[in-house]
Amino acid sequence: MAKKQLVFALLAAGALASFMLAGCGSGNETGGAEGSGEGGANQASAPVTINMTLPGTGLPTPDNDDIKKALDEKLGTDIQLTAIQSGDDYNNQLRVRMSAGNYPDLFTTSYTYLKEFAEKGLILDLTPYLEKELKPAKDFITNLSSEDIWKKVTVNGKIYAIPRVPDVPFSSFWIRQDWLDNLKLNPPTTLDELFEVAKAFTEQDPDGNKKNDTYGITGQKFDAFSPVFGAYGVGQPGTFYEKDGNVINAYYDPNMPEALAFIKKLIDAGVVDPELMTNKGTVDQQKAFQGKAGIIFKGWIEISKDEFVNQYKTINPKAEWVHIDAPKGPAGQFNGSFDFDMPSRYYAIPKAMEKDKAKLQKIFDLINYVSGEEGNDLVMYGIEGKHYNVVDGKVEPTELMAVEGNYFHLYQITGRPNKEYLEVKFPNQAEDIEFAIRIPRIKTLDSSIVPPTGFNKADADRYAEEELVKFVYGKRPLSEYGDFLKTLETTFKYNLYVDEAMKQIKEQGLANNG
Amino acid sequence: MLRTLGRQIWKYRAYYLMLLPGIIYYAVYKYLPIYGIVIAFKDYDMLAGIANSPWADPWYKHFQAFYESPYFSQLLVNTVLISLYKLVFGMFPPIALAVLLNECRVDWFKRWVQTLSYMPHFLSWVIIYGILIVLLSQDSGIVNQLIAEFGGNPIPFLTSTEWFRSVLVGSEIWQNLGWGAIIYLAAMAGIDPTLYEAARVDGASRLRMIWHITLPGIRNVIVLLLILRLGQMMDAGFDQIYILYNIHVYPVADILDTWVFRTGLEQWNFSLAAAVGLFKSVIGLLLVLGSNSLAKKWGEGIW
Repeated sequence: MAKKQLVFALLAAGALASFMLAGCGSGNETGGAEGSGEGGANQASAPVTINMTLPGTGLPTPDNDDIKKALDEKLGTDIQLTAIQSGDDYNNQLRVRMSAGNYPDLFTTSYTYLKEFAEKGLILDLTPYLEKELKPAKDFITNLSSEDIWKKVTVNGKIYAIPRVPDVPFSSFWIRQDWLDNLKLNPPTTLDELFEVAKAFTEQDPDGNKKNDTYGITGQKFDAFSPVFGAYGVGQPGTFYEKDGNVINAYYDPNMPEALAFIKKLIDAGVVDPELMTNKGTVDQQKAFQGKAGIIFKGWIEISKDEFVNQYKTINPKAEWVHIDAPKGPAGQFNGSFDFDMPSRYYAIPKAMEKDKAKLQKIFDLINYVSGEEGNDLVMYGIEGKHYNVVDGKVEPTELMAVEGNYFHLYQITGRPNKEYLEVKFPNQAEDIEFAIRIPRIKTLDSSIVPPTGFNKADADRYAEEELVKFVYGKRPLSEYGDFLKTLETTFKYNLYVDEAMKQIKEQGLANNG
Repeated sequence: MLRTLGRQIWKYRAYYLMLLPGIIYYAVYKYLPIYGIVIAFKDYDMLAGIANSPWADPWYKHFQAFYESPYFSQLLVNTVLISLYKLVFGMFPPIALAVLLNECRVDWFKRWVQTLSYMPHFLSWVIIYGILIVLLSQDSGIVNQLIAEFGGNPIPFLTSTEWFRSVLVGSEIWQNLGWGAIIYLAAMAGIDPTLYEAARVDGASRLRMIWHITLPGIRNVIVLLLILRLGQMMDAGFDQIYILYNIHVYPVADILDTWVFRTGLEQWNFSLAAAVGLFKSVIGLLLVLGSNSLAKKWGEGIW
């Protein structure tokens, strides 16, 4: 029933949008003319309005927004930031605005839409500006990531977006140190030891409550086994990465069946949370905190943040979660896979802005300013003396930062030096942050793949996941792995997707070979 | 003719004025959007708008994409079966509850039962999911702990293909039991009390009165609701299934709506979503028309 309402709502929205189109189209032209007239008459004295949109939450009203005020004062602008709560709503609104010709001056989007907007000629080709007008921002971004990031914002050889510095990975295996101590065990360093520890956690009553109520490993779906895949050199199911000089898809990795066999061994031994595949939301985290399992693959932001430490210490004061290295396996040790070059946001500027040179320059000024030392500090830490103090050359957050600082990132257009930033914001977790950044991971390449037409990714993903579950739960023998691939190709046309992905990765120049 | 109509409208203008908001509501939110159905036959592009999106080539392209999904028959079977189970097993409990409440002579007890029984109707499926986990979870659920206590093997209610549909149907019945009974109770209130008095004078027992007066008295409401529900045959309950299902039970739980959500809406394929929506509506319409004409043969049709 709700579905029907949803379709109706969509249809209604569509109908309304088309009406608005008729209305806005002409209205907007005059609006545009007025705008440029205004700019010409008032010279540089009046602040230039810059409309910025992105999905996000927690933005205060403009008069309480210290960052906006500081930026406006510095740059002679009137920045009007609109943060829309959910990503889906954001995309809907952006498209309606784009179709009505009512563009924001600077907005975020995803690679799929970036490509579409670029091909329709709706957004500005930034290539000619990068070496001059945007040089400071370009250097800032390249220094904090790599040259490869520019390939991720390239469509048909031209750069169409300012990429925000990629996020850093947070995740690793976490283990109950106090359980290890109780059972006089060492942290596992190999796959075999992982198996033994998980088995001991399940069978030897690590919490000493004389009840058989613990499991070795919990988590969510195959994500829980990321380091196990990693030990075999396999990326997360469905990802693309480079191996022995060739780009491959994880399903076709020759080591995939072996990795699945090891996971099956864990599940057969009964050391894995039986609800692993159905845990949703924070269920697995809560199970871990409640002492139902002793090993979990999670980001430090979900385990060692102060609030979570308080949570599990309240449940059991003796509990102690520590991160451990990925177990060594036949292919080394990798903490799952991660796309290191994926921009954390894609900022685009509408093509129409080309005509308003003065405004375009202001937008560039803004982008450059938040990439410079002074501006970057502002959008990372807020106002000096209010949100932070500098003590011995080190940034020390005030209490107000914790209260007010949660929205600052909305202004971090080009990003931030992640390690430094996170360690200031989370001083108690500095070691975890550094550890998660340092440990090796398989580098995936597929964050900007647009699936080809004629290929239904949702169906294929469902089939692949279902069959993988059958393999590891012993409902389908692993000897049939080849048949699984065949069905994936014939019935679900997965080869279309693989071919297209290979082609796009090659075009984007992301792989070193092939 | 027109003038008489005009005069009639003027005469009852106050009523028509009161009707106006309703008419506008339906026109704007129910009839105008019907135009949007055309996107089922177009390659809808939000940037171009509905009118300017190119026509799909061939026109049945999106219907074909749906039909050619390897899961098409499974989705259809799941949708119809789950709906049918809900219809068959969900039909009588509210009637039974309504009859029981109607016969209940202790007023405060009746009111309490009624309030408590329709309360779940106001819970969202997310909350019911939480309750179900507490009850049915494989290792920590209360039901399975009881089973284990008595030496049985825990049953994976939420993850086994054998049990999942029963959980769906059961939880839906539980949720709608009290709410569904309200309309029957209202219908029972409309039964002429003199019929009961006459029956009592003739020495009829309570069961006799239920069988010969109460149930026939609400027969038309039962048929009406049945016909209306048949029209929703292709809606097996998106909210419920989307929250409850998981990778283990896809083969018995994936329905048209969840597929459309994953394939059509999550991937911005609105034309495909609209095509499936249209397909469902057409089948729903046929079912309503068919069941109504069948009901008319028994003298109970809704129009």
